[in-house]
Amino acid sequence: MQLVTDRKNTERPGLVLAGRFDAFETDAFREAADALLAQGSSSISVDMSDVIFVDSSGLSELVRTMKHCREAGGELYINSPSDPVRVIFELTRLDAAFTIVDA
Amino acid sequence: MATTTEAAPPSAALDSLTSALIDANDRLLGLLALITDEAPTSLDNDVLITAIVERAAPILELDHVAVTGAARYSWGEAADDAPGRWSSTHTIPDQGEAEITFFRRSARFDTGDTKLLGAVAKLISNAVTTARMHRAAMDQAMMAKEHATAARITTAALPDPDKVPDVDGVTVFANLVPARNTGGDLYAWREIDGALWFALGDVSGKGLPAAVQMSTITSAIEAGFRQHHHEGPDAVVDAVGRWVHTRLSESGMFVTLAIGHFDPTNRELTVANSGHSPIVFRRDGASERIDATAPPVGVIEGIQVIPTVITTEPGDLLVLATDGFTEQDNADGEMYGEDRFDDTIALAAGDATTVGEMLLAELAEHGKDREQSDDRTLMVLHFS
Repeated sequence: MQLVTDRKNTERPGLVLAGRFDAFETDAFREAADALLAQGSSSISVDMSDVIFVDSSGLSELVRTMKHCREAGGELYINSPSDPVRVIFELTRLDAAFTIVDA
Repeated sequence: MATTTEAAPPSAALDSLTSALIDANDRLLGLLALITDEAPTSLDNDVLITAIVERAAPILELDHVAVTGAARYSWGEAADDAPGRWSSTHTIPDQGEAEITFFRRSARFDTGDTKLLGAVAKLISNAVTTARMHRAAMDQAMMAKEHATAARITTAALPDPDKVPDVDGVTVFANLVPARNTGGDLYAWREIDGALWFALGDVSGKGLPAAVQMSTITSAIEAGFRQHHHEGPDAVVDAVGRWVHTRLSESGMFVTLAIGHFDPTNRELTVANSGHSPIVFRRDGASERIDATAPPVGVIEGIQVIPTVITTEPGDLLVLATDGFTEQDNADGEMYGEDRFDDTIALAAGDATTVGEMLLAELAEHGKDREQSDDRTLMVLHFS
């Protein structure tokens, strides 16, 4: 997996995920997301357009981050999820819980 | 040419020779102690190195020993400007290079000293390697123990797969195989007033935390069956959802959960699906998904799960599995896949056990030579 933090938009800094997002990758994601929250961001956008696979550990990290954003009065935005990610969101109905933004 | 050097008086020469011999003897004894003394019982890095350094220091009049790089250690007070300073570099397996430096304030190290220092450094690097291999073995043993504990918790929380509830008009089969690093799968079943209640789910996460949550959530499902059986599966899902929400709201942990009910008096099958997949209903050679109507429990409050109600006919099948089943990959990295799952069920013949064992055999063939990376669970209901 690749993970890049994009701080250009200070209101809503972004994380760009690519590749597989599974149990092996969740620590790096959590660290990056917690760093943004600790720096005072209440909203985070996560670009998932190049994610090829997400499992329940990856989903769980997204849910955790979503909860923390909402507690801080913000929101977790999921940008342009790739088809495999979209399928999982639809199967689990997590699309009803996440705020999904399409480019 | 007149000589300018005077021979030392015989007695002084003897003194010097004797002292050199005693020195050499001390060194030999010291070296012997280094090699033959009993090794410390601890396999801690620092204890092992200190045992060596404390034997070597008096022989070589060392003031300070430092290990930097792949291993870190320091003995004595820093003596950076000491005239005696000698280093060597050693490779520690899987860790990289460690540099060992000896310092002596009293004098520079001579050729004899450096030979001895080389031997001491080698002993230290061997000790670091031993300690590191010991740690790796300990970590591995601890992980194996954690995995075993998680598997025990999982097994204890599950119903006995051979004690199938006896309900008219339906046969049931269930099989759960935990992965080496337990994945939080669960199932439950119970007969209440002649009707069948069943559940299948997956707690997000892995290892001991997932196993512990899986165990408590199984209890919450059992409690839900008892308290809400006059209502319906959606009421049980709601009850488990409230329970999970009050306890796990801080973490991102959630549970994909399907709760079902079969009433043999009117052959009505009801399934409430919160975020779970795959669930397949098969009639007349055609399979159809029972999709989730709400996100997994624990994600968000206030989204109502809408149950699916089917009046069953003889020969109908309901098959529930977890993602560990459909995502099992083969030697080429291809997943078993949801489409193949649906197609196989469409054509499956026989009662619940026959269909269940056929699906398990097919998956075993697909996943042979590959380690199972997630728990996998299968439940089959065959209606007659």
